[in-house]
Amino acid sequence: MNRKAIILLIAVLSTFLTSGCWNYRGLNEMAIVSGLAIDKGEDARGYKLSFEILDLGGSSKEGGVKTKFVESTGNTIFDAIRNAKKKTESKLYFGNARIIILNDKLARDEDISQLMDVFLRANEVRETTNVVIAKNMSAGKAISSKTLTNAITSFELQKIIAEDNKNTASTMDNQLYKIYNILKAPGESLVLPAISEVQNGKEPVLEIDGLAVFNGERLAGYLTPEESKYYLFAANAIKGGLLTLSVENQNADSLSLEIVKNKTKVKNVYDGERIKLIIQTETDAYLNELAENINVLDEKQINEVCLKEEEKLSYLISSTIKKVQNDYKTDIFGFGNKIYKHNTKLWQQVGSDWDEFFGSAEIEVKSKINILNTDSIKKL
Amino acid sequence: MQKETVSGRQFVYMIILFLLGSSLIIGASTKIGQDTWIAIFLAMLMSVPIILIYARIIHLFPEKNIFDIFTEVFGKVIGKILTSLIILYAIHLGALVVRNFSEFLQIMTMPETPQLPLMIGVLSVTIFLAKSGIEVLGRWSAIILAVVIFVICFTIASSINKMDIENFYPVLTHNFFNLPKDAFAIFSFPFAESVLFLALAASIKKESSSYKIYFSGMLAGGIILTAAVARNIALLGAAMVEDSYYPSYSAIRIINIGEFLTRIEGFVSSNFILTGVTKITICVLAASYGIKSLFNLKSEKNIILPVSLCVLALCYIVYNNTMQMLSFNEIYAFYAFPFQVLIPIALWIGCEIKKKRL
Amino acid sequence: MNSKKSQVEIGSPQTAVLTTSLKKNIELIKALFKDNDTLIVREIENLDGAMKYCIVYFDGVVNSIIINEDIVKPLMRTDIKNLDGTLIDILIKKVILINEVKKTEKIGDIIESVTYGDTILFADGAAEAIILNSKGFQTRSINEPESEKILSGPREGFCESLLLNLSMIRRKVRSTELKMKFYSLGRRTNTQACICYIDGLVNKDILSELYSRLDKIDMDGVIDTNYITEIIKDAPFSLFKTIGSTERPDVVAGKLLEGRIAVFVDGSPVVLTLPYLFIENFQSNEDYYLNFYYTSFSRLLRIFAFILTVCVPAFYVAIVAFHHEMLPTSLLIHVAMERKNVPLPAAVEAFVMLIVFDILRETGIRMPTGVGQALSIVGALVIGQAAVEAKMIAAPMIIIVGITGITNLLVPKLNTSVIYLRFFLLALSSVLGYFGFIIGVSLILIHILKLRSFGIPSMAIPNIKYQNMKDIYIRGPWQKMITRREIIAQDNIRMNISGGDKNE
Repeated sequence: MNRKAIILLIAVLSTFLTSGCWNYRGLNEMAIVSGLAIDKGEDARGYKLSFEILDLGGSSKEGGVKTKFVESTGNTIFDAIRNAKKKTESKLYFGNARIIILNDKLARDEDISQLMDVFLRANEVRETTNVVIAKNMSAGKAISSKTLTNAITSFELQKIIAEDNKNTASTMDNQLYKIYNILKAPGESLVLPAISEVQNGKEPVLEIDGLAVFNGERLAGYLTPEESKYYLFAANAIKGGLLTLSVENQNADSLSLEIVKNKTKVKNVYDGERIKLIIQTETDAYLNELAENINVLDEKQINEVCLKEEEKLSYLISSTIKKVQNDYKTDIFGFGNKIYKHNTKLWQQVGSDWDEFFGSAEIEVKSKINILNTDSIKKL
Repeated sequence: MQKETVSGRQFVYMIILFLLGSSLIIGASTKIGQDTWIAIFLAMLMSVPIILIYARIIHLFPEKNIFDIFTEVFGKVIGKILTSLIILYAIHLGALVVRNFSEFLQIMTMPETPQLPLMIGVLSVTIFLAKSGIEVLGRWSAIILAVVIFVICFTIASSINKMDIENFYPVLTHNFFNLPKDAFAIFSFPFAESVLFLALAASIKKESSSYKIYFSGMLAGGIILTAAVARNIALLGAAMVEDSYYPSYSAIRIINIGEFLTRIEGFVSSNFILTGVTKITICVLAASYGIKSLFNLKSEKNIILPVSLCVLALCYIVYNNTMQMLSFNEIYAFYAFPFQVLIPIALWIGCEIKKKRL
Repeated sequence: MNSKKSQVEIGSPQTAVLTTSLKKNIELIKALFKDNDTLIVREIENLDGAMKYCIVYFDGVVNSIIINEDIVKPLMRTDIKNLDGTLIDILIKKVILINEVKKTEKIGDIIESVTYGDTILFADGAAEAIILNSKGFQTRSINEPESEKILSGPREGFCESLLLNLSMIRRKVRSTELKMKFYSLGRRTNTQACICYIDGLVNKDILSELYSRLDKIDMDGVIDTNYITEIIKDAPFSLFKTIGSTERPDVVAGKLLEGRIAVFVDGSPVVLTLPYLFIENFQSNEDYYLNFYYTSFSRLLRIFAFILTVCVPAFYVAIVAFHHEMLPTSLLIHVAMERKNVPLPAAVEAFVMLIVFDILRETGIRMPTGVGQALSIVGALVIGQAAVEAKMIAAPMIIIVGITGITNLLVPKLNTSVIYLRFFLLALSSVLGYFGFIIGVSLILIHILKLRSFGIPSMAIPNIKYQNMKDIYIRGPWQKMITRREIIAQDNIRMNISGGDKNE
């Protein structure tokens, strides 16, 4: 019995040990990709990929990690990924890739779900990777340009996008799995964050630049950061950001309200031909900047501020929606999806050509603003 | 040596783990996305009568397993034929589960590793567990179930901020026939697979009620499965749930608490492995008990190794690739129907007649 | 060696008998203990020379004062006139002042007791001998056992003398129910063992199982309790203990009160307690002497430490070599940077470092205390810091080995198993990654679940009752621990419930 057990043990062990360690891959045998960028191939066939990989040459005591860039081309995206191995010592590892940058032209010419397929399939790439569009430059240039604080461009970019919603409300982050869901969801179109290069002092840096609007699978156009804010309002996705306003001063805005909380409700009325969308927003805000002579303790005056802002906000939201209706004719707000989810009967009537219905829909926006406090000064 | 017995409560744990087994990773894959949880409830309803029959059979013949009852009710020849059928089903089911696991591990975590060592790994635990006897299996189940429940609760609690209730809408707008179809698929995999517990029934402690065991097992198993599926839907959204091979795994990949507690899918995959091991062990034990009574052997311990090797051989040849595995899952319900429903019903009728005559 | 063997054969205790002739008896004894210069044979006569006696004892194991004052002196000064009854009985009843006497005609008894420090008295004309208790060997003084030090609570520890050890227990449990049965072990050493239990509590099945296992022992010498432990253990080749051992009388008394059985062996300060449940590896007697909040925490800590010390190296290798996705990004970058310049792969590195650690630990135990400091300098500076700076070992590995080593110290009772299990898991996870790790953990868990100690499942989960939980993972307050483990103890009410209420 014992001898048998030992022989069995040796047999099993030798199958394991002699056949090598299949998936054994030391940390030093891989090039950690922090982000990648996809451009069109030079002769309009295939793809050109740029990877930002972490340079682990230094010691961890010396602090900062530096990055290196690898470019490669291939007939398919995966082909290009593998071709990158020709230039690097070890295989690329995508487990920590945080961002995928797509070139504007590529996104206009090719279906996004096809571009993203390889990343969703590969188990190495995480479903939470962000996808962004490079607006006025090639994706490769975007990923190799500098950001201000972090040495790793991709990580900083991803952080900027992820935090944006709470602070500046100028874009909307969409991760791989959400993109997949939105593309499959009826009555909803995709938006992705857009980035562009701007001058910061003397050096050029990357900046968030509103949203890229998709019509179906293809890129259709952009929203400015300001419009993006009102998009977020309409899509019930805003979590922060500022609203500015002037009450008496005609030339410039002199008040800032910081959004704390917002709730947007959408109602729809269908009269058989056209659909009417009623958008109600209710926003809680703090008054953070007040360069005018307003008594914040006077309810009347504060109400006046609220009223003015409500007026302005509802106008801006509806004009943003109208712009999307006229320019892109695609429901990036997910109004249709709401109908699909909660009003199946209506959806059966309008669902088949929702984009038409959306394009011609009548928009009514009602905004409400509650100012909760005025920070730490009670200026008279 | 005295007969090994398992308390009723541990038997319940075993049933729960058995039900979760591979369905936890496959996540009760259906075509109806956000309505999957309704399908699970429907499947639980569908399995009530068949589980009543299972429990009734055990109740009528306490401390006997299905193979003894076969011979007692149908006589030797038919009894042996039915016994062989159940043995084949148990071995085949074990092989399918092993294959599910090796596919899962290969695709999700170890693409360069061939499947054979993964299968051997799972089966070595199984053999050891089965050889340790059903009593150890009962205690093992108690521990593993605690781990499984903890992990599921933990993942739900930690992902609650990423969940979106909207993902559950619209409710029941799919094709009218898809819901019962999917519910039937869930009924046959995993609920009615608990027919194999009839083979282990001889070890239940005398005083525990078979109805209570079967029902609480099914109810708890169904609820845990529903919780897991609901978590997947709320996190991933319907489209991803429908289209991903392993939605539970994908869902957990999304969880992210702070910057540090991310990427916990590795821990969670242990959950899948542990429930799977339990399920395979139960299949192997059931087949071994069957062979024991088929050839009138003294102990089932010596057959466990050959049975496991059969499982290994079978699961190695049963599919060529993952796509085949999933397409077989679609017809599995019909394949398993005779074993899960027809034979037990026949047996039940036989039992009732037999008991009346006595 | 050889001569001793032949001697046993010639003057075999079974065949030889005592005779009425004193001279012959003396010759017999001398023949039995031939070539044994520590044997003292002293012949005595009383004042008128009518009575002839002879006392036999071994030098060094007897108390000379007792022999002089209580045996030799009365024998010499007493005239026995009227013989109403046998001479031996008169000597026992009227002459000898020794507390414990026994008359015997068996040579076997004589050999057994004279080697144990008793004095044998032969009288001319009697075919019997008297065994007189004159034990007086030097024992180590009672002090606290080195291996089981505690912060507060009783500090005495067992020593090598069986009777002294038993006295410590007797003092703690003053009940008629406390039973102590002697049992002789070892064909050559004739070692005295004692099986100790509380009659009303002990599970009779376990007791008879213990006897039947002890009966099977046929060994020529038993020097320490571990000799019998390995023979009567349920799973002799298991890495885990299924029989407990301790050097503390308070622990033994506590275990006895839980319905367990204690086995003492003369010459060893280590006492066995059985049955031994797996959770006892994490229990300490101190748990019961300190505040229960504190001790519950430290007990959980010990369980956690056991898991850590077994799993950490394997887990680290699985992550670093297989599942890089499980490392958070910032950690991944730093670990990868450290690993970049190190020659050995992580798995090999882990093996090497663990073995180095084990070498350090083993030398630390065996070394004279003075050298200890030098060792720690070598360990910490040379192997730790210098190896990292020389880029021979990655820094995270040092942390891993450190955690492994320190947590190991928290569970001294599991030392043996931990060493092997750690390497077992490490080997599996170097080949199959996390999957291999899980397989290994499952196999270990199944093994533990399978263990039995005298028929009692060592890790019993069935019927987890609220009452039972109070002394498993945590230590409940005394007034709440009302019952004992029912599988071990027969009468499992520990406390009168009304008494408990009063305390509240």
